[in-house]
Amino acid sequence: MIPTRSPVAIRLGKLAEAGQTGSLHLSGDSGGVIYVSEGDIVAADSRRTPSLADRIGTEKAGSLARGWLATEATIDAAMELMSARPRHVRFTEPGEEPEPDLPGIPGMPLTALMAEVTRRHNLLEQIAAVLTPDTAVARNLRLRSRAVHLSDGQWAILLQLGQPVTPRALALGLGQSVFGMTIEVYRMVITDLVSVVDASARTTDPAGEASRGRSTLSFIRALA
Amino acid sequence: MSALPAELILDPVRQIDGFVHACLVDTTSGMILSSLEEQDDMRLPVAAAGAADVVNVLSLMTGELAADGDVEDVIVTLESHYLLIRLLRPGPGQRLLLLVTLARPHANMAMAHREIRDFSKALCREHDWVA
Repeated sequence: MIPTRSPVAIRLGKLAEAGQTGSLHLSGDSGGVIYVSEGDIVAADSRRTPSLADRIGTEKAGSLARGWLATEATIDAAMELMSARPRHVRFTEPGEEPEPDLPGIPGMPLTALMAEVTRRHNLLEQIAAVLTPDTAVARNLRLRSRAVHLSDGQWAILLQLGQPVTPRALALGLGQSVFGMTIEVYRMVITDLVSVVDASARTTDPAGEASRGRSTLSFIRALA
Repeated sequence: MSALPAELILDPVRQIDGFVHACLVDTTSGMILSSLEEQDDMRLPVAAAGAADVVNVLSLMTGELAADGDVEDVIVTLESHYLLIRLLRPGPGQRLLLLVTLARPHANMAMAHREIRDFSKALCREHDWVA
């Protein structure tokens, strides 16, 4: 389902049109909350992505990094929530429930959020045949190259790959964006640092079906 | 996207001769974090996406070559424009790119390269990033 045409997205559209302020609560294991202020999105939290607090960590209030991390966490969560099918959706206005401690990022117009979610959806579609946020991966014990240069982010990921694990679990464990982690793990799959685990065979699949058809991810191709 | 005020971050690059637009892009997600435009000659999102693609492909290359160190900057020369891309590392595991587009008839490439390098270092110092 294209996230921006989901029931949650349609409901957000109505809130944006009306310039509403409050919280949209989505029930269930895939649920969470989206906070709106005069129709703009100011924060979002999903049970399937790291929390805002986890993402912001100890970054100083008002710092660039804090703002960017909060924005990324909000988009990451909103993308998950737009794909969710909650049994119950409830909108509360300020004062009806205890006010959360929001990161104070500038409000994001819903159109801008939808454009970014669409772009990310298109990126994930590019790699979906090989990897999704919930595909198990494992460290590839036999490297194709004799030497390889790793970024610090890739080292952090490799250190977590003791047992097969999904990009989502890695993101939750490292307090990073699920979307960003999926992209980063995909890059490690195409360089053979990491392999997709074939769930049915319970073996890694470094050069088999899951790896065929993989190609370099393209941000330009993701632009609608 | 309602990002932090770009002029607070990127305003100094507006002074570079031939300036067209500039942006800061997260190389992992491809998302534009801040942007500044003078003219609308080129679609900034396309330039940003292309710059992120270039950086990521070059990182693949340096990774496979086991090169000593990462990409520092990239210069793309088009008939009418220069695209200067500089890598920044705000923190562990984070990589941003600074993309500055200049109109070639008005730009001095050597000067611009130096100014962007100096601006990047100043930005990193100001925000405690890795230069």
